[in-house]
Amino acid sequence: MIELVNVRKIFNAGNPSEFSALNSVSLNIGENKITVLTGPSGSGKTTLLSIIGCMSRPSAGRVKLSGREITSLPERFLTDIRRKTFGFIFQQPNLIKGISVLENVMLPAYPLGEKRSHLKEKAMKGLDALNISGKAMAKVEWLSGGEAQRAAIVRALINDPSIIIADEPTAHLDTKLSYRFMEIVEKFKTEGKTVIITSHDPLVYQSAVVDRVIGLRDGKIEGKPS
Amino acid sequence: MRGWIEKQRYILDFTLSSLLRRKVKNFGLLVLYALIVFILASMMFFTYSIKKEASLLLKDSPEIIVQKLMAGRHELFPLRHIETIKNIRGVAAVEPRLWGYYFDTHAGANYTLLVPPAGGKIGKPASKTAVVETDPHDRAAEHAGQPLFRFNDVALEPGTLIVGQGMARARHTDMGDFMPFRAFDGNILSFRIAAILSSESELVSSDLILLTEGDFRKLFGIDNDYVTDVAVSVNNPREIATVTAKISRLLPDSRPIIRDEILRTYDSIFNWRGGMMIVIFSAAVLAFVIFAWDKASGLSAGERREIGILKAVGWETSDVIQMKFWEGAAISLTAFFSGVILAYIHVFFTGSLIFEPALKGWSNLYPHFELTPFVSLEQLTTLFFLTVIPYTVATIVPIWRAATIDPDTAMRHSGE
Amino acid sequence: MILHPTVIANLLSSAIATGMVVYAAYYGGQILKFWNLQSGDELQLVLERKTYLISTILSFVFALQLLSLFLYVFTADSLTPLFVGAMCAAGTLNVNGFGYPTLLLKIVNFLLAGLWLVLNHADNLGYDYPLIRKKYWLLMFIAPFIVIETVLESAYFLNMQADVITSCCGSLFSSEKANGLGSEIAALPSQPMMWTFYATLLLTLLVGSYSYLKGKAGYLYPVLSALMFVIAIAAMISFISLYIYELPTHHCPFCIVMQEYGYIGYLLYILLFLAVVSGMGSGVLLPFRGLESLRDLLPAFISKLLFLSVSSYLVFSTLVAYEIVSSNLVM
Ligand SMILES: Nc1ncnc2c1ncn2[C@@H]1O[C@H](COP(=O)(O)OP(=O)(O)O)[C@@H](O)[C@H]1O
Ligand SMILES: [Mg+2]
Repeated sequence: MIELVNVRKIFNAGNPSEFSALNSVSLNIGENKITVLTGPSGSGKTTLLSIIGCMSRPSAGRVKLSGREITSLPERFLTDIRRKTFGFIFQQPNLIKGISVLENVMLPAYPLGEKRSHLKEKAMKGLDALNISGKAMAKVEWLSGGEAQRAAIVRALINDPSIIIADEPTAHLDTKLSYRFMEIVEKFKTEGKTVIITSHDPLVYQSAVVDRVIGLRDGKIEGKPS
Repeated sequence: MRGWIEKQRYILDFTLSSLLRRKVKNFGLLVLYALIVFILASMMFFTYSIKKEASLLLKDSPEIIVQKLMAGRHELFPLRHIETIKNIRGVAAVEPRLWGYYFDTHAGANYTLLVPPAGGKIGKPASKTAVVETDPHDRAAEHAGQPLFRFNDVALEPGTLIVGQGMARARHTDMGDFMPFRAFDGNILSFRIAAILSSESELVSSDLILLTEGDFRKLFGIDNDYVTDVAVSVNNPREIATVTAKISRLLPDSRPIIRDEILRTYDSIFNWRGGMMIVIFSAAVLAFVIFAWDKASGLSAGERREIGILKAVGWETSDVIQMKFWEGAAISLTAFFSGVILAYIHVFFTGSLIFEPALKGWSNLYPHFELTPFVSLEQLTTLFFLTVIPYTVATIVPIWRAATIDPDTAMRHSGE
Repeated sequence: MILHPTVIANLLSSAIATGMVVYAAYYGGQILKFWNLQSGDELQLVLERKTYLISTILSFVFALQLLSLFLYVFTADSLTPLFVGAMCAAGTLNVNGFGYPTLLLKIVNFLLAGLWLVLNHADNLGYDYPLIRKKYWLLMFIAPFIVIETVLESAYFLNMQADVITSCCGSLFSSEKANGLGSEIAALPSQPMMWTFYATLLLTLLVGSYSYLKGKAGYLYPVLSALMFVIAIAAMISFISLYIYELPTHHCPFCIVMQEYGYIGYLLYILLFLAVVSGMGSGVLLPFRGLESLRDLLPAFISKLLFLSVSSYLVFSTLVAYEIVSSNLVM
C-alpha cells in the first residue's frame, strides 16, 4: 500500500546546522495491517511518519501510495490526498481551544465544503461511537485527558480515511486509557483500515494486535543494512 | 460552486469565531484602524461639503461681474457705463450692486455690508446669498437650495438692518437692538436690527449685513452716480466668453470676472487644503501600516499552533490564506464603516467639534455652522484607497508567512 | 500638480500595484531560474511556497487594477471644474498627453492580470505545475507594463495645471469637429455602427454558444470576444451612450458611471471586462489541452470560461437593449 524507496530527509541543508534525520529508508507497509515504528527519541520516527502521511516531502527518494508516485506532487494535491486518505492522531490531542468539541471534530472537513447538516450528523455519530457525544457542545478546555484524546480520534476519522496515523498516542495516557486506545486500534483493523503508530511504549509495540514492528535508530531502519 | 460557497461559509464562520476569541488583541488594532479612518473621513467630509456648499451658492451668482479699475485697483463703477453693457448683444440684464466691508473695532471683525437688489436675487464678490430668518423656530421652511431673499413681512426700511448669525453672536445682539456704525465722515449712525438671517447657509452669510441703498450711501459717502460693481447676466451661457471680450473692448478700464473662474479658484483652494491635510496625515497612516504589518507578522504562539493544527488536519495553504483574507475583510469593513459613520456624525451633527479650529481658521465670525450632509461615492472610494488598500498590502506577506507554516509542526508540539 | 485627495489615492494605488508586481516578478524570476520539480531540496520547497505568495499578490493586483480603473475615471470627473471647457472626465483626461494613454494601459493591464489568473488557475489544476514557466514568463511580460502605467499616470497628474483650456466631451466626442480618436468613433455614422455592433454581437453569441454546447472550443470565439470588446466600447461612444443620456449629441463613455445615470456604467463595463477576460482566457488555454496532466481537467475549465464569457455578453446586450428600449431618445 505505502512504499518508500531510499527516502532521505535533510534539515537545514547547506547550513552548519545541517542534519540528516532520515538516511535511505526503504519500507513497504501492507494494507489493513497495524504497523508500529519504534526507536529512541530523535531517531526520526515522527519525521518518517510525516513523510508517509504526506505532510512533508522527502529531500530525496520516492514515496508511492497505492502505486501512485506522490513524491513531487504540489502541496495542494498532497493535502487533498492527505485529508481523504489519512487520519492523524497526535501525541497531544491538539484540539483548538475556545470552540466546541463538535466544531473541533468537524474542522478537517471544512475545506471540502460538505453540506453542514450531513457533516454535523457524521460528527455526532463519531462522537457517539466513542461515548463522548454528551460533550459535543462543551469547550475543549473542560475535557479530561482521555476525553480529549477520544475527541481527537473522532476528528481523525471525520473524512473516513483508509489509513490512520498515530504519533506516540499513549505518551500522555495512563495504563488503563492506553489499553482502551489499543482496543480502538483493533476496531480500526476490523473495519479494514490500515494503522501506522510510532511508539516506544512496550504496551503498544508488544500488543497482540500489532502485525509488524519496525525499529528505527539514527534515521535508519534497524536490522537492515542500508 | 455550491461546495465552494459552503466552504467559504465554513471558513468565514471559523474566522469570525477565532476573531472573537482573540478580542483583546484585535480590539486594539480595530480601534486604531477606525481612528485613522475617522480622522481622514472627517477631513474629507468637511472640505468636500464646504466646497460643495460654496459652489452651490456660487451657482446662483451672476455669470459675469464687471468692476472698474483705476491704476490697477478696484474702483467705484460709474452708472453711465451700464447702458454700454446693456447694448451688447446677448446681455440679458445688468444689475448694479452696492456692497462693501466695514471693520468693527469692538468685535475685531470685518462685516460685509450689502444692499439687496430690487429683483430679489443678490450677488456679492464671493457671491453671498442668504435666507432671512424671521421666526427662529420656522427653520424647516427655509431651504439651502432657495437662496432668495424672503423678506416676508419684515421690510427693510431706512434705518434698519438684517444681519447674519455670526455677526449677531459676535455682537451679542438680537432683533430690535440698535447697532452703531462710524460713517465715512466720523459721524455715528445707529441702525435697528430688523431681522437675523437664517443659519442655513451660514458659511457665506454669517458676516453679512443688509441695509437700504440710502443708508449704504450715507454710511460710506458714495455718490448717487456710482455703484460698487455690476452683475451681468447673459442669455446663452455659451456666449459668456464673447460677451466678456466685448465688455473689455468697449470699457477698457473695466475688469469682467467670470463666475466659473471664481468657482475654479475655490475648488483649487479646497482641493489643495484637503490634499495638504492628507499629506500631513500620511505619516500617521504610514505608522498605522507599519503597526498592521507588525501585528500581522507577530503571530502569537497560540495562533501559530492553531494554524499548525489546521494544516495538519487537512487545511491547505490557500485555505489558510482565505481564512486570513476573511479576517482582514472583517476587520477592515468594521473599522472602515465605524470610522466613516463616526466621522459623518462628527462633521454633520457635531459641527466638526474636534478639529474645527484647525480646519477652518478663517474669521472669528464663523464659530458654528452646520454643513449640509454631503457624501459621494468618490469620497468613499478615495477613503477606501487611502486606508483599506494600504492595510491589505501590509498584511499580504505576513499572511502568506503564517499560512505556509509546515503542517508537521503540530506533530512536533510537546508541552502546551 | 494638483494636490487633491483623490489624486493622492490614485498615485498611491498605482505605486502599490507596481511595488507588488515588481516584487512578485522578482520571485517569478527566481522560480524561472531555479525551478526543479524533481528535487526535494529546501530551495524547491521555498519556491513552491512562493507560488502561493505570487498568486495572492496577483489576485490582489487584479482587484486593485479594476478598482483603480474606476477611481481614475472618477478622479478625472471630479477634477473637471478646474479646467476651462472640460465638462466631464473626457475633457479632463485630455488636459495633457498622458491622460488617455494611462487609461488605455490601465485597461490592458487589467486584462493581462486577468489572463494571468486564468493561466494560474489552469496551472493549479495540474499535478505537475504544467504551466509554471509560461505563467512566470507572462508575469515578466506584465511587470514592465504596470511600471509604465505608473510612470504615465504620475506624469499625467504631476503635469496637470488648472485652467488649461481643454476640450470637453462636448467637443472631443462630438461629431462636429473631427479631432482625436474619440471624435472619430463618435463620427462613425450611428446606423452602420449599430449594425456592426448587432452583427458582431450576434455572431459572438452564436459562436460562443455553439462552442460551449458542443464542447468544441476553438480560436474563433476568443478572437471574436476580443473584437466584440473593442466594438462594444466603440458602440458605447457612438450610440449606446446617447440612449442612456437621452441626448442626441452627448457621446461620452465616462459619464455613464456617474451617479446621475444610476451607476449603470459600472455594470456594463464590469460585464464587458468579465466577458473579454474569460473569452480570451479560454483561447489562451487552448494550446495546453494536450498536456498530460491537464488533459482531463482543462476542457471543463475552458468550458466554464466560455459559459462565463457568453453569459456576460448576453447580460450586457440585454441591459443595452433595455436601455435603448426604455430611453426617451428616438433616433
Ligand atoms: N524542522 C526541523 N529542523 C531541524 N531538525 C529537525 C526538525 N524536525 C526534526 N528535527 C530533528 O530530526 C531528528 C528526528 O526527529 P523526530 O523525527 O522528531 O524523532 P522522534 O520522533 O523519533 O523522536 C531530531 O534530532 C530532531 O531534532
Ligand atoms: Mg516524535
